[in-house]
Amino acid sequence: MIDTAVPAVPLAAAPAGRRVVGATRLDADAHDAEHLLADLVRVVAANDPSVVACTHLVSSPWRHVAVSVSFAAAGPAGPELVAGLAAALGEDVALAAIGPGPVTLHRGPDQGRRGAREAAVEHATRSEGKVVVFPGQQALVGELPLAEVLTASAVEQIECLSGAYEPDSTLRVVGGFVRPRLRAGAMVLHCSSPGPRELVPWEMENPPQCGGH
Amino acid sequence: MGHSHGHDHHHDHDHDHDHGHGSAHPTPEAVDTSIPDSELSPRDLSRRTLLRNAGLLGAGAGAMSVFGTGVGTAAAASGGKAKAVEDDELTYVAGDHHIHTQFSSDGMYRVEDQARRAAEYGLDWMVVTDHGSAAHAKIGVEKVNPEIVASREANPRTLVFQGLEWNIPAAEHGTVFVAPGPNEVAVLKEFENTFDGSVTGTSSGVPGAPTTPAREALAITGIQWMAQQKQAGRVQDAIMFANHPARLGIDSPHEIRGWRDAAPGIFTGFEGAPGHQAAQLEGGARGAYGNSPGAASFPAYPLASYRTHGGFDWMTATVGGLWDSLLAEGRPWWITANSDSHSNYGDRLVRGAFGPGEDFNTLGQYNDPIDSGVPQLDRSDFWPGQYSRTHVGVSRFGYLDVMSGLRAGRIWVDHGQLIDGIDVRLRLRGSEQRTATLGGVLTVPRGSRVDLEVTIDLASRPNLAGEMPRLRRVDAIAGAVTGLSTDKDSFRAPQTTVVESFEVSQASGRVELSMRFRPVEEAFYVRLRGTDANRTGVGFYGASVDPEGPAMDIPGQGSPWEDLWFYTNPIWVNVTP
Repeated sequence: MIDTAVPAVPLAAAPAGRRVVGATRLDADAHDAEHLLADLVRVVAANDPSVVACTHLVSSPWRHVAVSVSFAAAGPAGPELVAGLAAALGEDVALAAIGPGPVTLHRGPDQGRRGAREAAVEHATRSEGKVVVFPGQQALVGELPLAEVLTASAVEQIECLSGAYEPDSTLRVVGGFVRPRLRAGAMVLHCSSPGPRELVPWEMENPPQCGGH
Repeated sequence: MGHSHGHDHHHDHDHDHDHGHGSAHPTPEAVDTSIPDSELSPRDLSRRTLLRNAGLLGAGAGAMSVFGTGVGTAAAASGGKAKAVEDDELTYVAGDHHIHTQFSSDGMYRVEDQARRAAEYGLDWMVVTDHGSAAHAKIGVEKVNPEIVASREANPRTLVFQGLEWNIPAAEHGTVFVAPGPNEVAVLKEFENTFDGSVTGTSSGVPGAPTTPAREALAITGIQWMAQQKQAGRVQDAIMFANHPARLGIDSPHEIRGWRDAAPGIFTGFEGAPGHQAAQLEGGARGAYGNSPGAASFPAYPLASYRTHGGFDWMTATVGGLWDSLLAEGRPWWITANSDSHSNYGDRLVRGAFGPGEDFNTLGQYNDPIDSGVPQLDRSDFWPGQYSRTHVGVSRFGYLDVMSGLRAGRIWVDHGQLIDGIDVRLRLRGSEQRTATLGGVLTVPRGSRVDLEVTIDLASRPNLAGEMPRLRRVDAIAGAVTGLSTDKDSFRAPQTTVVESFEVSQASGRVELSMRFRPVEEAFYVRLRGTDANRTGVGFYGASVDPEGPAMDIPGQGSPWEDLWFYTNPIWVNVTP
């Protein structure tokens, strides 16, 4: 079931020894998509400490929130993997599985296939995506030096959106909420600097939903 | 090339002015006739003169109503048509076009609560903008009107407009309001039923979705419909502004340009600064701007656009950014600053309980609030006038005059009562008559020399946090007018930069600043902003564009009272061969 009908997204290969799956139910709301993502992680990588799980704003068939996961290659692959995912997640979920090699398999509603593939390709190429689950996430609590953030977790770069910062700054995490982003091949944690040598994650948990939205 | 020099016009006050939190000061100085003219700040003296000329001050004024009886005569304060304005006779009246009441599903106050506080905090005009919804369109839009009419009579020195917070189809919220008159409710109701995104199920506008083009078109049709109501005389005037435009990233540049161009003079600007400015005090994001990109967001907006910067929306706070890209097109687009008051930080009032079987959808409102006896600190808003002010230049006190001042862009805005007043004009060098002020155009022959003349009345008394605001710096921002953008989704004005900064060393009185431009070769505009300089950062497009702009606000950090800015709308220079 090699799909050649979706040429808009370039081919991508899964990193060696890993598999990448994209999935979508065409959710407009990030919270709904994160539920699908949690299910996906549970099915493919429940006990895999290397799992990386993301949400993606994809454009096909219209802009919505798709999800992706990468995990150590183990268990079923190819058609068997996507068939198992479809059975576990429901036939309303569009899927795209990359790997082994530059082979993409699809399953599920036609309407969502491109979006699922966009998410999988963004993940495989690490070009875009908001990271919800990543190795070392549990270590990012309380206050810790930036150097430790980079060694203890999969975060590779720190970027401060509110201006320059000192490399010996401390990251302060309240409530364990950290959402790095994949960007241009790296996992980047966007921060703000409320004071000298102090950074906080830029992304807020539970942003206010006021004003009727 | 700029310079500042002070004139010692300090006004001493013998009165005890307690402006601390929760203090009662029911009479603003401008209307407190126990304070002689000589002791008023220039701005308050100007306001007092305006009110006096409108018959709203002096013996008997407190008891009289200029509105006669009933809704239909309310506009009499304006005498039917707004008068043409000469720059020299302008008085700036302060207001707020974004205020909620118990007729909003997330509101709680009576109209009178808001109107009374607005008057106490020095506002001259205000707009009641409850959210569009099925319940509001069916019930609230009518039930609020008698409350508004009563407030007009109870507070004759405050112009109280009825408006709507429109769920713009496929986009954010907007303020829509009309001049008082016999059809104000009917027109607002028909507009809401026909064009509100919530009522018509057209709120979401995901890029690329098959429904999105028709929804974006519905917004345009709504603006044009309102223009027709005005043209047909059903309402004397109507005006619209986009609210919290960058909050969710869902007002794309092409939608904003579309609203601007839908009907001349109807949709005239956006909130330069959103409300909810107290949200930081309860641990939230200033302006309730704590979001990140979502499915309905315009994909090209950067992460920085989802936060406020010095309390202002990214579209306005970014020099060379979206607002400047609109101004560089040479078309009017004005900024305002409002409270978005729903429930106010530190206030003791709480929602009244519903009786058995009652709820918001069946009543169309919450019951009257009750005094809990305890300051409520889990809230994000200030009262109208407490923190955010939109100052509009008028020559006469009246509904139509305020609307026409808004449309003309004779507007400047501030936070935390940073300054008492500002007069800005561009002058053809050596000419007495050839000047233009905020929102205006100075037309000069190519090669002419023009000068910027700015007079600022520094804060003359503590603000409503009990602190003395201190203006430290004023920046002039200028850019070439380059014509309509071929890219309707552009949000970049590459030729707009900070061109001059004035350090202000004086602590009180009147400051005069001036700047000489090089001989004019092409059309351009200039706008001003000023700050207490407590928090600054390099602007989004780098130090060569904006070396000391507003800093990005960080959720839960700092106090809105310690990061104050004012912004003016632009003045244009046009060139004839």
